[in-house]
This record gives sequence, structure tokens and C-alpha cells, in this order.
Amino acid sequence: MDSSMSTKKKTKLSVRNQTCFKKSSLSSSSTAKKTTNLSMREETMFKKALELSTLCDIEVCVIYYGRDGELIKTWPEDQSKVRDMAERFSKLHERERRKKRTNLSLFLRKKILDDNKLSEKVLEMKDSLESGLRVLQDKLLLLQPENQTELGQSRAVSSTTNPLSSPEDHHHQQWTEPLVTGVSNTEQDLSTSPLSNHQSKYSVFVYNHDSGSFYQVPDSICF
Amino acid sequence: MVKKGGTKRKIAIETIQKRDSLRVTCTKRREGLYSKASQLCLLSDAQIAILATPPSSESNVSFYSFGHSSVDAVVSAFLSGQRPVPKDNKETREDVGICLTRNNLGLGFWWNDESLARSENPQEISEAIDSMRTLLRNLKELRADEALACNQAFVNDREDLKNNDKCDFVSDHETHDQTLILQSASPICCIPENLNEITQEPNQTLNIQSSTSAICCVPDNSPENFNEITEEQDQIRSICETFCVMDNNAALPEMNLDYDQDIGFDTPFESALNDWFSDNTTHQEISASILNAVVDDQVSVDLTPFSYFQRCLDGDNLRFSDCFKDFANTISAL
Repeated sequence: MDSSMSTKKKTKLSVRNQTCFKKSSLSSSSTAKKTTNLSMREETMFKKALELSTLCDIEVCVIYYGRDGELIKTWPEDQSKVRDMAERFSKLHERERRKKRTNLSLFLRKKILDDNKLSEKVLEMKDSLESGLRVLQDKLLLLQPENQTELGQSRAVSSTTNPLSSPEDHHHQQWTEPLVTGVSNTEQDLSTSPLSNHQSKYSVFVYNHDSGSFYQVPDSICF
Repeated sequence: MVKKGGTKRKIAIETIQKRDSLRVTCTKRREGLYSKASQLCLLSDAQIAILATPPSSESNVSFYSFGHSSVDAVVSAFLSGQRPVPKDNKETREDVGICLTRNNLGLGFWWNDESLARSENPQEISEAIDSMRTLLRNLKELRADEALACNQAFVNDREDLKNNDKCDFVSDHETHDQTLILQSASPICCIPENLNEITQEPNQTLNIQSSTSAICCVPDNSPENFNEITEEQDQIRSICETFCVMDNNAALPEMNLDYDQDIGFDTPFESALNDWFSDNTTHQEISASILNAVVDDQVSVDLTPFSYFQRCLDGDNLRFSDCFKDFANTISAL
């Protein structure tokens, strides 16, 4: 209990050190404090791995590489156990390995989705991102007046999308042609009615193919 | 052991005997371990892999694993004794979760970096702009996923993520279909007049159908005009059906002959009218001589079409004559 209490106090102190780290302008002192902070975080991680394996009676291994690619530390300390577990993992089928596997990106994404408090921070991030984007765009325009030609090219690129839509228009025109044909055919048929000599609105003519002649049916019978 | 002055208590670090408590503890502490590891990755650009066995041997999962850059990369590097490949910086910049967590840890957003603000390199700035646009798009997708995940438990499997992506794709596809529908509607309303010249004559049956749809699609229609159009169309249809019957009997070589006859449509028509008048006059004289009594105009009119149909039925096609037999029966009934 006393050791855990001291650890907890150290944790609080590390938070304060982090605050000092933000404000401090001396690079050497900030580097030293950063190293101390990181090493304490490492210890915390390994300690939690120990607790997890002890409480739940399961096997846990942690492989920790630094930014330069050097193997800093493993847990358990005995690398043979870690290697044994790693070999068992690598021998699994890809489908088995994919189960319950996560990485930094997916883990943080899930954390954001599950936590409602982070929604406000997401909005703040979005606002900051949009304002930063506008600032950089304005700066880019100032730095490079030649960029206007690129804007012209982007418009040319947008104009190339028009031919993609024109085949559709052509397709619609083909589809509408029969309609126009029908309309013209209607006009041709309507023109026959004025030729009738009777006062009635409509008249019927019978066409004989052999003699090539027409016979008109009297109106009194048809209508 | 109970500690004075607070409500939280610290448990002894020993194996938990209760099965349910053990499972819950395992899940929560594993997530906590992942959280600590993720913070360490972000702060020190480290690459970490964590492997854990399931609490129960009956589980269908072989290993619970967490890794940055990825579990496979770190594990294979460890087994081979080589250094792991460093993470691509671009992917890190364009990930919403990583940027947000870095900000929470006090590292700030990368686009507010002083070195970027002071930079005079156009290429660097344009790359930053592209990354920011990608990040903004990912952020909008994340907010969409957040809306989907409100009532659902988000399972941390890639297959589920793929399913979510497919759902997004389907919704985009539906939007695209609606756009097409709107585009296809407009050409019907405004048919250009130039198409009349280009027009060719397909089958007359299609003409009837297309003319119907053309008239119905006209937006400005008063009820009276619509009725008149319908009546005229009925008359036109009866004439067209006659020609359709003619076309059905003709074979391909004979189509040319019919086409020639269509070209000479007007000339036989005028001659037919003259013939009709002359024949009508002749029949009136014959009927007068046959009947000694006074002849009514109505009787003479009735006799005329009957004799004419007799001439029509002699040399016609069978199908064509069937139509006129029905027609003759109708007249005889009157």
C-alpha cells in the first residue's frame, strides 16, 4: 500500500511536470523532463500488464520498440517467453489473427465513437482545421501567383467532365426521337380529313389493292 | 483493502476466483492497457505490440492483440531480430483519432505548428492543404459513423467496418440514381424542333404508341383540348390499324412495292374520287330502271356500298377480307 501510494503521488507529480514542460523554453530541461515522463509512462504500462496477467490468470506479453527502431524493453523480461508467445501468434491462420486485433487508429476511433464527451472536441478540431485550411490557402496564393494557371487547369479538368454527361444527353435524344416521329405521323394523318367533300367531320375511304382505287363509305352508315 | 477518506478501494493483485468478475476485469483492464500503450505510442513515436490470451480456454478467440504500427509488423520484426519499418507520416497526419488524441495529450494540432506557419515552401504548404482536406473528409465520415453507432454497440472487427463502408456506398448509389431520374425527366418536356428533319419512319404500331405518350407528356393541357385530341386520335388509330394489317402480311421484298405505293399516295386518291362519282351516277340510273315505282334517295344510298364491297372482296388477302366481312355484317344489321 505504501509503495502504491508513493507511485500514485509520483503520477500526480508527473502531471505537474507535464505542465512545466509546456511552459518551459529551455530545450535541455524540457528534454530531461520529457524523458522522465516517458519512462514513468513505460513503467505504468508494464505494471498494468503485470496486474492484468495476475488478476485474470492469463498470459500477456508486451513488445516495445523505440522511435529509432531499437528494442527497448519487453514484458515479461524473459524474452524466451515473449518469443514463444509471438511464435504461437505468428503460426495462427490469418483469419484467426484478425479476430480481436486492433491498432492505434482503430482503437482511437472506437474510443471517440464510444465517448460522448469527445464530440465537442471533435467540433473544436473541425473548426480549427477549417480555419487553418483557409489560412494556408491564402498563404499559398500569396507565395505563388503562378498558381492561377493551376486553377485554370482545374477548370479544364472540370470541363472534361462535360463529355461524360453528353453521351447521356445523346441517349435521351435517341429515346425521344420516336415521340417526334409519332407527332409528325399524326400531322400527316390529320391532313387527310380536309380532303373529304362531305360536311361531316370524318369520312372513311376503302382502298382496293388490285385496281388501286378508293371508295368512300357514306356518312349515314358509318356515323 | 479499504482506504480511509475516499470511496474508491484498491483490490489485491491476486487471481480472481469469481468467473464473471474475472471476465469483466479482464475486459476492462485490457482496454486500460491498450489505452496506456496508445498514449505512449503518440508521445514517443514508439512501436508497441501487446498480445493477450483469452481468460477462458473455451473462447473462440486465440489472441487479443494491439499494435502500432501493426501487430504483424512488430511481431515479425521481433522474431526476425530486425528493426520494424517506421510508420508512414502521411497516414498519421490524416487520421482523426490520432490528431484528436495528440491534442488531448497536450501536443497540439499539427497544422498549428510554428514551423509550418513560418514555412515559405509552396510544395510543403500544398501538401499540408491536401492532408487537411483529407482529414476534414475523414472527420465528416467519422461524424456520420457516430450517428450510425448511437444505438448500436460498435464491434471492433474489421469486417464490421467493411460492412459500414458498404452501407455508405449503397446510400451514395441511391443518391446517384435520383440524380439520373431528374436528368431524364427534362428532355421530354422540351423536344427541339430540329429533330423533325432527322426523323425516320419506324413501324406504324410504334408510331401509335409513341404519339400517345407524346401527347400525354405535354405539360400544358386543358381538359377540353385533351378530349378533342383523344377523339381525333381514335379516328387516326382506326385508319392506322388498317395499314398495320397490310404491313403484317407483306414480306421483305414486297415491302419495297408497298413503299413505292406510299410514295404515289396522292395521285390514285384523286383518280379514285373521280371514279367514285362516275360509278355512283351509273348505279343511280340502273336502280331507277329496275324499280318502276318512285325511288327514295335512302334506298339508292343503301344499295351503293353493298355492290362496292362485292368488288372489294374478290381479289383481296384472306385476312384483309375477314375484316370487311365483319364490316359488311355490321352494315347489313343496320
